[in-house]
Amino acid sequence: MADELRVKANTYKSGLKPIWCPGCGDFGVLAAAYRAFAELDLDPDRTVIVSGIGCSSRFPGFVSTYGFHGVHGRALPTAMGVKLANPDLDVIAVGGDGDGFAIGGGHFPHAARRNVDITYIIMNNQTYGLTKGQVSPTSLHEQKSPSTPFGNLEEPMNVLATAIAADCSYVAQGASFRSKELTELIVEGIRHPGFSFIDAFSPCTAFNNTTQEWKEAVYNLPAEHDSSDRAAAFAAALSNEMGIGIYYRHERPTLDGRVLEMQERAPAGSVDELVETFAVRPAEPAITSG
Amino acid sequence: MGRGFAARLRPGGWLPAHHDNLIRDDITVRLAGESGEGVISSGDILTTGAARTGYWALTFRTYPAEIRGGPCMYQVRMGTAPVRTQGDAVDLLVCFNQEAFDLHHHELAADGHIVCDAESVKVSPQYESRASEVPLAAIAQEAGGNRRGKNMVSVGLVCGLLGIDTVRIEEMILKRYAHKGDVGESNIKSLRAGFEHARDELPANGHKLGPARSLDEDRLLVSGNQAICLGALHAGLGYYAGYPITPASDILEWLAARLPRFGGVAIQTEDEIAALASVLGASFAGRKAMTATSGPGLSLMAELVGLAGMAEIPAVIVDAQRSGPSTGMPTKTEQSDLNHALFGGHGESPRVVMAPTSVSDCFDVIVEAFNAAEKYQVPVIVLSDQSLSHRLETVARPALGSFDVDERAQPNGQAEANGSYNRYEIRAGGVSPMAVPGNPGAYVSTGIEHDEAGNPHYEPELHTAMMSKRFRKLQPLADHEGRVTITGPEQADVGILGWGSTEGAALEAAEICLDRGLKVSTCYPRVLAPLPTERIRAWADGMGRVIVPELNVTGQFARIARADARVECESVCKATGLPFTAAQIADFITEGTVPADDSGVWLPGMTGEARVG
Repeated sequence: MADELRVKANTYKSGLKPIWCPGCGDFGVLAAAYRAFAELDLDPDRTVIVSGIGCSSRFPGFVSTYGFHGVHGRALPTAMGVKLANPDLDVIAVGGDGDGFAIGGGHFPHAARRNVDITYIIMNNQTYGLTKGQVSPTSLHEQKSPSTPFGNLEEPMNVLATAIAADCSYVAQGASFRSKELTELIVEGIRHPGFSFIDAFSPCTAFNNTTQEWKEAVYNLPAEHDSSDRAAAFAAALSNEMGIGIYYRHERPTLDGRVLEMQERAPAGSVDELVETFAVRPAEPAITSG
Repeated sequence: MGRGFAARLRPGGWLPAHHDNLIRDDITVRLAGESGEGVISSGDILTTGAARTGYWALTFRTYPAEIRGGPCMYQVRMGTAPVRTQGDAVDLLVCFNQEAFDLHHHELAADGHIVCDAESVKVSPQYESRASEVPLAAIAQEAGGNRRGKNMVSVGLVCGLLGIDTVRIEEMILKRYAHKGDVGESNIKSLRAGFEHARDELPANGHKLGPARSLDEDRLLVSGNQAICLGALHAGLGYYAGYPITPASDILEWLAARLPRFGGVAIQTEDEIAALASVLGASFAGRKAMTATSGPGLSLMAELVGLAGMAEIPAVIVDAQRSGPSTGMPTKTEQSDLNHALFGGHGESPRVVMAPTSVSDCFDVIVEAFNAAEKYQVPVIVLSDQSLSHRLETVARPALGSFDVDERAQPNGQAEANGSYNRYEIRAGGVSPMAVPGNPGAYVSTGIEHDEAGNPHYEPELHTAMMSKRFRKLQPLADHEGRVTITGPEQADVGILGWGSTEGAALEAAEICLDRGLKVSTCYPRVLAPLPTERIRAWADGMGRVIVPELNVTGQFARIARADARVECESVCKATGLPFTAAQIADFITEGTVPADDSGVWLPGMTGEARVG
């Protein structure tokens, strides 16, 4: 990275020291985000980072932009409200796999199908870090945890396939320890006009330390992967679960864009005129049918 | 206002032919039949026609929760002066089928009259002298060439019996069917045939409505939900999100069609949690934002109400209450979400709770709700209810210019420029200026306990100071800003202390009691949290006794009045799914008994000096 960009990236630090454990993958995601913001030259006063609850949801506090640290699982609808209220803002939602796919899982397909122009980064550690290690919706079968003492009886959710099924217009996967690629995926996600989903492997060193295993398991998606082909994207999501890169990308109208068009088409409103539509007006002469 | 109670006690029945017509100040008409049969559209036409003729009107509907089938009814009380309740008993009952007669005849006034469809209704012998059987469909067929015109025949019959000119109704029909060939003409023929049948064939000695008075006031005919929408737009609403739920759905629908004209948008979200979450996001981003729901939706929103209190984000949440718990009776009214609005949620989060008392008050209260939300950066829950949501009422046109609109405090630019801006700065009044994204002053809005800058901190002194700040800022609402309407003498035999939609019945009950020799005063605070306890107690000091009428089982407001305002009071509870009538409150006051309600079951208040009927 050019020195200039490094200096610029540092300006996105809030000065608040992250509370994450040593070695936590979220440090890597945060660093990649700083660099991506620098590369895009985001205006901190015009950027909003929205999160829910969890270790990774403390993210907005460490960034010098506007932030909204809300309630567990509701980052996406909150971010939609921000974006629709002021489409000029760059809106980024962040959170963990439990926040996004367990308690907040009901919101994900709707954010995707609406295609609101926000970027959603999941820091996926396949565990509940903040509550000390219970399984999450992305935890593997047979994973042992305080809440699955005999091993996880459930199967993990394929979040990439889920996103493609919801016709998410940008679906990518990165890893906290593959900084260059993750930075690029975030840059592309923010540039993408529509709902961008980036699943970032972000190991939890305290309760589900997969750091070494994941470093060995991840690989770049094959160069010949056609990210514009939805069927190919599905196939890749089902067969390349540890792949890094853009699985699916297509452009279609955004909800915020359509709202703007609707507002522009609508004739200017006046409350007086609307009140008038309820007027009883008994005094005016009646028209009779004769 | 309205007719005195005495009128209702006159020996009645279908009066002998030589008897003079009884000219009434107001008359209550009920149309009843099968859902989908046109009962509602007939009622709407009659109501709108009466309003346009210059009468005051107030409607009351019951309908099944199911989309097709099931009994429904439409009641309209029309008066030469403002009417405030649905009416105590039915003066004229129109039955489209046998079930309608079976369900509703017992609510007929002692001197009331029934008109029923001759083809499908057989009235019981004791009602024969008060009933007229009319071949509705046959008259429609003969006059307009279509049996389906029987609704219009029934409207014509009502007008003919009550002496309401049909010219305004004809005008509406022509306008409504302007592009449908001769449908309009056919309907008008049916309407006139009904009117003429009443004039020529039915006894001419029933009650008539007095002539509409000269119209020196500009009026609207509007529902509670519509008044809420108009008030919200006046207050500057820019973002609305909601999830369909009876009886709040039409707020979403109405705003979806109109908010874009004001540069805003109404979004139907995937659930009520998403609705309020997006409202908070939009408000954080600088828009005035609102959601509307009913009880089940408010339950889902509870966690986010706490966030809005903690992060100090303005938001307006309308709860059009319906009969609970759980799915309960979705199309019936109740005032049972007060506890939830006041206390729902974990921890202790500041919020404002307001309650409109009439359709016109819906407009006022929603503007006040936005003002409080923005001024104090707090969620405001507005407790309407089904009876207000969907009834049509004639109201004086609101003078928009007289409603001040408040905006939230924003930083002045200096602090943000030099980096010393603190979003949650502790100031004497408790309100801290709120920077808006897109402008300097970036901060993190958060539900975690925080210092003045918004950074997470858990120190005991800080938490104490922040809790104090968040509650302190609301005190002016309790002290003097929150509106309270008090009527009647300062020293009265009885005080009626209430909230929300029972005010109309309380006001009319006070008049009935005056006829019976008792002085009654009413007190209706619009802000229920923070409650104006000092003002309520000062009022109660002048009352011989205080009663609190509520549409719930447990006397929720009475409990608050006792605990917080320290007012000794008697709880009068009704939880039948239907609103109070004035007579029910008056009878409780003067007779000391809880009258039986034929519509359902009277349930005693379960706290304090509850009375069992």
